[in-house]
Amino acid sequence: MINNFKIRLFFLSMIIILFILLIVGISFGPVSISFYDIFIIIFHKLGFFEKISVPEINEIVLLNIRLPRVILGALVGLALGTSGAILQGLFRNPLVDPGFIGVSSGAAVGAMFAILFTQFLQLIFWSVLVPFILPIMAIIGSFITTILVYKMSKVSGKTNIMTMLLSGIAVNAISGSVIGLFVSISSDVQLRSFTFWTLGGLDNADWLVVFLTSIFVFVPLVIVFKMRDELDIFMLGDSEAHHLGLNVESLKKKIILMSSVMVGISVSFCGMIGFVGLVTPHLVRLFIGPKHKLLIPGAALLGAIILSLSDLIAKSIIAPAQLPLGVITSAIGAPFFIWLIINQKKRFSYGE
Amino acid sequence: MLKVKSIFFKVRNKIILDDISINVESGDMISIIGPNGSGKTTMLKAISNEIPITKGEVLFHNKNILNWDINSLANKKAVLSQSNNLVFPFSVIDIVKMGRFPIKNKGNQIQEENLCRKILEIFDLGDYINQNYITLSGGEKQRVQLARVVAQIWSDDYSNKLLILDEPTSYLDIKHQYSLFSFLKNLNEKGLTIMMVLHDLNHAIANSNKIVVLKNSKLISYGETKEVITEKLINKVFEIDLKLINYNGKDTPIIF
Repeated sequence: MINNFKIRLFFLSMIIILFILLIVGISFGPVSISFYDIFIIIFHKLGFFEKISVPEINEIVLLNIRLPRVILGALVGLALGTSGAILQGLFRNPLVDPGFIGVSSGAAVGAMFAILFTQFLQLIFWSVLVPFILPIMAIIGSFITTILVYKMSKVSGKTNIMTMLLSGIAVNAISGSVIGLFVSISSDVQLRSFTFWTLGGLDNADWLVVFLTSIFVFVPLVIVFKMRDELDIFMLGDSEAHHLGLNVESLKKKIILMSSVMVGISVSFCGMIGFVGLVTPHLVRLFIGPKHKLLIPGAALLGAIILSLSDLIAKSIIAPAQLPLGVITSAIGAPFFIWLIINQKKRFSYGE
Repeated sequence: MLKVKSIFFKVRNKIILDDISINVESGDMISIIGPNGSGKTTMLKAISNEIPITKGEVLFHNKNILNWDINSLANKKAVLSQSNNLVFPFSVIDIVKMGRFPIKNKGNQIQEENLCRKILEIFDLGDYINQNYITLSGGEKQRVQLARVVAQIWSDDYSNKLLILDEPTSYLDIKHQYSLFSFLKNLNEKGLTIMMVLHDLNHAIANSNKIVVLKNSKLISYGETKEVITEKLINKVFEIDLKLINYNGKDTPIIF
């Protein structure tokens, strides 16, 4: 049974763990910054101390490299965890991950398109919107693929898991061929920025990226959290939700749009990072149940934790070099996915 | 309360509902019977605004059901369908509370909680309140869903409310079938209008004042139970040889 104590304990420990991971993430790297220095620099910037005796290099590294990187990591994890939770809700299926069903690769196609055709797109976009071109194109890409897969996987009102995964394979294949085409017509510089998309990473982090990402993550997060009761009702089934007075079609559109925005923004700055959207909501449901009132903030927090932890591992395992982030998340997520499949198989063979 | 005026429903030129008209009055308890594939479930879906009908119109409280605001409709009408889509581990009480989602004049949190617990007691689920729904048996799941629609329709005044049930007895053992019908009759006596699809003809005869008989998408008969249920009609509709007897001197016949 899930009681209030367990819920409070869960959220409290999530917040503490995330905080610790962020501090360790800031401290850790080729230039090691002590926790004391971090404390001093941050409070100096906030206006508490006038003069400080910390090496200038540490301050520069912390403010311009480490801090935006860990914040971006947390934001992207938050976005992936939340979008995983609501996409699993949309499909009413716990095996959904933005990566499997082709949403991430759709976003990658959009992002690559934005880079290849920057000059052309700058002509048609308003000049104020130019920094937004990349995320907007990625969001459009993920939006189209989500709708495509959702429409394809519906069989007489229900999403069939097999058709869903097959549609995901088909969409991933289409995106893959488009990505291949883009790669072959791109210049050397463009090519270098493309390769990181397939495995993901936080190397793009700077304050502008953090700023853009936080807008595109927190606005959908608030909107999604406001829909928490509707999402619960929707879990009963389309017709049940309809008879409970819920506008089912409008809710679906909102879910698709919000998850596209969150996946799109993550992919456009950090590439395709698999499995976070699959694992996170699962673990949260295990601890505090499936109600969206708790699931959404829980998945947001745990997503941030998993991504921050993965980035820490990616940075440390072959230091001073670093592994692509997607390698770590897949290494953690894939065995988990196998466990899920075996579990489901058991359930089905017992006639459920 | 509900006027169904000559409705048609077609899917890819296949006619599922062919010119069905019935008039439901407040306080009716109506059973819909007919062979498999005769259009019973589709008829319930059509009159409960779940599927768009091809022709004709459905008036609920003298207003076309298409013009009703979906939330107001959910305050006046609850529907139990046959599907079961829940895959996430919600607790039994969470699901019953979902039935209260559309209600406009809800009580405070404690009152709502107590109401849901009370309804669960009615359906013999008092010991299952915090149990995970997906671990329940078929009959227990069905009772949870029944409790949910009852929570939705629950009020002080049932006179303008309609409860639609598609095979409410499925998966239920005989004890729970009988306690369900005695509970429904009790609500009906308080003024609730009920329409249900039933497979067991004896249940239909014993528990409804009117009966709708469908066959091959057409309305064969609609009227008072005693007038509709005749040996000739049952044998013609179900293509089987059955006897109608009056058991123990009671008014209602039974079939076997």
